[in-house]
Amino acid sequence: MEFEVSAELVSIYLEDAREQLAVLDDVLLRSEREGATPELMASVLGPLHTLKGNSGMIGLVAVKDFVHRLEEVFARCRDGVLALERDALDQLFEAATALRDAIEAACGPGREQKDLAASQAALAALVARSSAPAGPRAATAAAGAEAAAGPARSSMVRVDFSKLDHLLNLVGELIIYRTKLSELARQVAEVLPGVGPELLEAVHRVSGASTQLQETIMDVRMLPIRHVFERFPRLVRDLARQQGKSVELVLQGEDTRVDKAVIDELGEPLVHLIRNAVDHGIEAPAVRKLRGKSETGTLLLSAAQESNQVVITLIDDGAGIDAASVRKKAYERGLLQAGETLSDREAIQLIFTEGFSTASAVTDVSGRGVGLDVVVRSMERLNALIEAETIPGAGTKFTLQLPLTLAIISVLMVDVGADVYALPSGAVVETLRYAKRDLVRMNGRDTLRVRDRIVPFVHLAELFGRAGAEGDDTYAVIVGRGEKRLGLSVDRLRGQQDVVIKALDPVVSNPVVGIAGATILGDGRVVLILDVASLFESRRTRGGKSRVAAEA
Amino acid sequence: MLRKILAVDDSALIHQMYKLFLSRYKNCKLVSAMNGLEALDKLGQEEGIDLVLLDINMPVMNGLEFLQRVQKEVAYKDIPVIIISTEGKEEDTIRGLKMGARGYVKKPFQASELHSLIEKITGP
Repeated sequence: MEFEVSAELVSIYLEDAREQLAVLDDVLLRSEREGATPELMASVLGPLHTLKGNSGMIGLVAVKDFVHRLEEVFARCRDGVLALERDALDQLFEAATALRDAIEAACGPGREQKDLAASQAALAALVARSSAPAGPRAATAAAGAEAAAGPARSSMVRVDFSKLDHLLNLVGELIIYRTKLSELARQVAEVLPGVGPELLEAVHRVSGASTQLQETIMDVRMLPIRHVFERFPRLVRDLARQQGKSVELVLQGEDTRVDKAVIDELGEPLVHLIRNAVDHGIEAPAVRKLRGKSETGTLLLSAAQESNQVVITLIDDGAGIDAASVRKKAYERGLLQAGETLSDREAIQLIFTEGFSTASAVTDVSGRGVGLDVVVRSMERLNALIEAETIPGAGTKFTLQLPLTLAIISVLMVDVGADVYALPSGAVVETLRYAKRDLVRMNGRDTLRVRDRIVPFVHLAELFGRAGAEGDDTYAVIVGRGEKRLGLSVDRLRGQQDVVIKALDPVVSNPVVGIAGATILGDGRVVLILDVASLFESRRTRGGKSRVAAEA
Repeated sequence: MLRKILAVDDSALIHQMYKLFLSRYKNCKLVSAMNGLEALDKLGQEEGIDLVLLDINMPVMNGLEFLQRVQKEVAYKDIPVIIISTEGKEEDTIRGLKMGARGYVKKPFQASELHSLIEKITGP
């Protein structure tokens, strides 16, 4: 009776393999910087050995053989019979990349088996170059070194992330009903003074315990941001070498903890920003020398928690962004109208505008562009803010403000007709009462005068195709996105509260413009959470008319 | 009969494999440890372990050291141990067998190899 290698086994294998590959990268980078000491060489043997065994168990024979070769190379380096010269180190970096690609491909949806022969032959050549084979002494030394290097994992348990998601959802519901329960208990206490105090006390305790439960579950979902940062030293090294530049990456605050869902989303935008900084920010060594800078450029990537946000900054000491070229490009692309003026600081933010960066625009705008609107889209998915500051000639700083978690957000609940909607509090600038006569018709669209500013206006009831119960005198919520403002008409403000977001099924959410997710009220009613970014889009592209076809 | 098997390995994948492979036995309890030291603790906590599946290369305490300590304890020395060995480490397997291990299986192993060895030692 034999067994299939199940998807679950593959995912456990892959997760382990990524950790082992991260150790490999780290050891290579450290040998490049600090030299290949025997201790350093020995420290990679344990993880490689486990990777070899695991690869064999799930039937990746080529990977297993490849790792075996790698082990041989490192064992010889440790024993001092093979020196890691520049070219040998380069080959090992290439081997690590080939191995990572092969493992990812083999565990990917296609289960594709990559050919490792070329890279493996290079490793065999390295082994052959060593002056003597690694003897039996090596084996015992390795066991000792592994014993010292390996962490004790005994108190750890692996849990499928979807189970934590489910747990959080349950707690979210618990918290919703807790609010309802407190309300009922208060009413009961008024009419039944006999049991009142005890009931209130019991409800109070349940309430305290459920808050703690929620905090604990949130804490369990948090991972150090190191999980994102750890692959960047390798990325920066490879990019810098490709371009003949010298760049040092300094990491700070890697222990800052963030929700795993944020971690998963954060890698891609950071890769884009780092790539941009190395490609276009940091100058070639000769240019840096001319400008009186050290030939090695510095990239500082740091993370820190500030109240319920994580702030990530990426600073380079490169060429900076030239505001004049950005302005010029923006006029050419029609992003700025003639006569519109912007301060340098405002102009720089235009690099995040969709359509600003196209392949042809990359190199001439003192070089930033590709990928930044990709970054902006990621930031929107994360409910995050991004900002750029630059000093021409001295460098650029990107600041990302991210929520600690994507699972719980603070929202403003509003009534629109008979429905309740939620608006993310982060996007709400202010709320005010207005009368119909305050609306001004401009270019066939409603706008609202707020003090000295004219704000585009959207009737939510109309947008969602609901009968507007709009009286003459109702509320407006002003939401913001960057410098832009948008007014939304609502019938009543219900107040602010924290809610657990339930993602909509992709089948439902795809066609629903303007909806970010849903949450559930104490009485079981489903409340849709509005996606402010796409409300701005809907206003821009369709003059406020609705494309919101489906009801969730 | 109830079988109680202690599996010692530093790879979560291998533990998952054991779970899968041993699921064919109805009355089988699988106890897991990530290294030799943890395995010694488990021997103390769990009564009546029938068999130990032992990896050699592990952090904190390796398999050979575990085996050495087990052989010194009167209470444990008769518990049969199967070494799960890796290619290229044959001399470790031989040392383990000399120290009293009852058999070995080489990684990557098939379910059937493990089953036949388990049944040979603990009965069908």
